[in-house]
Amino acid sequence: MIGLIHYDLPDAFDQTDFFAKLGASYPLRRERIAREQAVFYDTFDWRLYEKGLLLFRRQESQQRNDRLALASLEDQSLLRECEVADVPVFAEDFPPGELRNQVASIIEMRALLKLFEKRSCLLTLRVLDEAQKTVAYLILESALLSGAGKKQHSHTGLWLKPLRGYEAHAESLHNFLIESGCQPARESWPEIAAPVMGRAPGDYSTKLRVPLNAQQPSGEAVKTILRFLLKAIRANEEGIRKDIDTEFLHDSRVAIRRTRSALGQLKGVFPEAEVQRFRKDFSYLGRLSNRLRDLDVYLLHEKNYQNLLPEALRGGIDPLFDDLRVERRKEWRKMARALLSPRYSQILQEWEAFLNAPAENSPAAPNSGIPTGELARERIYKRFRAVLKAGRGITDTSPDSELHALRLECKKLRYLLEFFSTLFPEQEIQRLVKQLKGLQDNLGRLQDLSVQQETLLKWVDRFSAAGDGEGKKTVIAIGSLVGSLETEKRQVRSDFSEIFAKFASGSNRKLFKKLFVQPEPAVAPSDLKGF
Amino acid sequence: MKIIAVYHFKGGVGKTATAVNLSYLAAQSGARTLVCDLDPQGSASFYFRVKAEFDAGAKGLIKGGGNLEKSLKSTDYERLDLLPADFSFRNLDRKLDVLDSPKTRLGKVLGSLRDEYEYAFLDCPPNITIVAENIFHAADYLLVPIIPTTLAVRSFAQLLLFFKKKNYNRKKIFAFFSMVESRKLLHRESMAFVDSRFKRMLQTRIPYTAEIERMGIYREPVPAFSPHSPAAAAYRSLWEELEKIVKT
Repeated sequence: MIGLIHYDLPDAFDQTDFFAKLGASYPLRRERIAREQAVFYDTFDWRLYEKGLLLFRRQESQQRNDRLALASLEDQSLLRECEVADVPVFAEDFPPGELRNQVASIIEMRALLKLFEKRSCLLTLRVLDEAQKTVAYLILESALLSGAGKKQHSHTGLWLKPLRGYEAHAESLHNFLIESGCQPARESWPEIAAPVMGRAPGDYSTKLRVPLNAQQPSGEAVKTILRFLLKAIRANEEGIRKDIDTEFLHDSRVAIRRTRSALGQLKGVFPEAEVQRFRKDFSYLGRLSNRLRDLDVYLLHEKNYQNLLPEALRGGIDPLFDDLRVERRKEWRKMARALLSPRYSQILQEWEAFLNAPAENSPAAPNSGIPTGELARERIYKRFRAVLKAGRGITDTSPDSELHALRLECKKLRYLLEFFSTLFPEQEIQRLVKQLKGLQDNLGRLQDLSVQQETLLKWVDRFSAAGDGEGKKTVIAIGSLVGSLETEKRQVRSDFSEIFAKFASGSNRKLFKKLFVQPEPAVAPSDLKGF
Repeated sequence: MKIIAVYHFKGGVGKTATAVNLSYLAAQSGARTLVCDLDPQGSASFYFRVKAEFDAGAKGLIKGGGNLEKSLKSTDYERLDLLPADFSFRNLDRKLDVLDSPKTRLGKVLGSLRDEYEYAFLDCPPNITIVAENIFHAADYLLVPIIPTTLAVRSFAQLLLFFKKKNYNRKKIFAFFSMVESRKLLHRESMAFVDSRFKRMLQTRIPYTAEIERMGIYREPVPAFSPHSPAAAAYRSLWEELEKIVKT
């Protein structure tokens, strides 16, 4: 489908004059003025925007039902559309169909947030040929944008809608518009609406891309990374408190874990006493939501659990999940309260003050002054060797604990690669991260399956104690689940050696060496004279 | 994409009016719709004010569809595109004849537009030739307008017989009465006769009205220029009936 071309109007735009000039060159028919109202949605981390998509629900004056539309951000060409009754929040709230499938694959478990509303007045001109056939549309849109607050923003723009099979006409109109002082628009709707949203599109992402300089002192650079993580922790607080979706907590926990990992792995960059203190604080922050996150994960996978069960047993685990939902509600309340507690805010305030203080060059922090590039290379390569060492010792009969230890090493390496990614060529870092991720996915899945089995077996006690018929059904259901998980676990475990071999391959090792090992300074022949 | 061919080997039974009005209504209902003007006289193109272009479309159809997309034209209505008639369709029969698998060519070519449209309506030329056989292969549904007269009913019976003889899937055929003048006894009797013998008969009857003939003057679908007319209501009801069939 051909999209629309959006134009910004010249400063001294005179509508009457413009239409008169246009009418002199092209036969036109003016349509009745239409009003349109649209509400725009995206996830907190801009998943649709990042994919170049625009999701909106619109109401046109002639049509009775609201329509939900997925369009291209660039040219507003409509990709998919369906009718809706209620405001969608999660992908599963959409009516079944292609629109839902596409949106679901992008937003996954994230909630859609209302970004802004647009009320438009549309004046449409049909451009005709000699048979009075429409060959293009020109649409003058006066829009009033509003967000959650009182702020409003008005924007007038012109759209050219080319029609299939009439491209030459559209091109001629485009040239006319440019000659009349119109400019192809620089911004899409979310960008135009930034003032009323109070945030800019793309302002939050889980991706860690901290601009660093290889020459800057490590103390400074590491603080920059940690400030980036603190911002992420803060940005997710509101979403956790309002319980919008599970990923606010998840993202916040990842930022906390990354912070802890940085403190643990980048020794000597800050005075040890302070590192110890903050590590304790962040360990406390992480613990606050351990249980809540576990529960979130169980509930997110409820459907998968159901699917693993034979049909006759599907109802069996309902009581279990009902219990989990009750417990989750309690845990979430606890967490929401903790976020408002004096201890929580004190930890983050002190942390922020520490990060904002200039890096000190004390003897307690010997590595604070060394160039960031050097620190990054040294730590990453060391960790890479640790991963190799831990992995090479693992055979098909090694106990789970060894795989668990390897998993932790991998995680540390992953964080380091991400912290310092901007110091190295992007493509090569991405290749390494991808390889590592493959290994992590395998180890992570194995860990998940073990934990799930253990948890399920713990639940057995609870339900077998109940002793009634329903309890028995649940116990059988759990038994069946543990069995299915075991089958998968064996498969995942047997995949390990091949996946690790790929990671430890010669080409991967070479790349690590090339990126992270400083070449020995070449010996000049003149240096050899002394011998 | 569901392909609905409006077909009859008899001319002047209201095929083009049916294809134009139904495709318009399908697009209005929210479905991306294509109407293919396969009739060399180009009446559907005329109704949509699209000038016939020499050669482009048919070449695409024959050579394998590469040029097909370039031949498509937006109509004046949202979601509705047209594959215009082309005077070279007069030679289509001959050209199809020399190709491999000449009988399935049209289906293959239209298949290239599968993801782009939900419905394709074919306005078919009135004959039983190789073009028609292509249509029988390509179409998911064959929609046959029948004028309730003795001769027209007889030719419908011939069509059914032809399908049987050629071993085509007769379940694709759905019919409805077109140009109905219910004050005529003959029309009423003919309709009762067919209704009692053919199962896949749609209930809607399109009346014989001046409004439908005026399409040629307005060059627009009836529901576009006269939305409240009985003819528009009849086409709407026909589309609702057909939509239920093609959606399942």
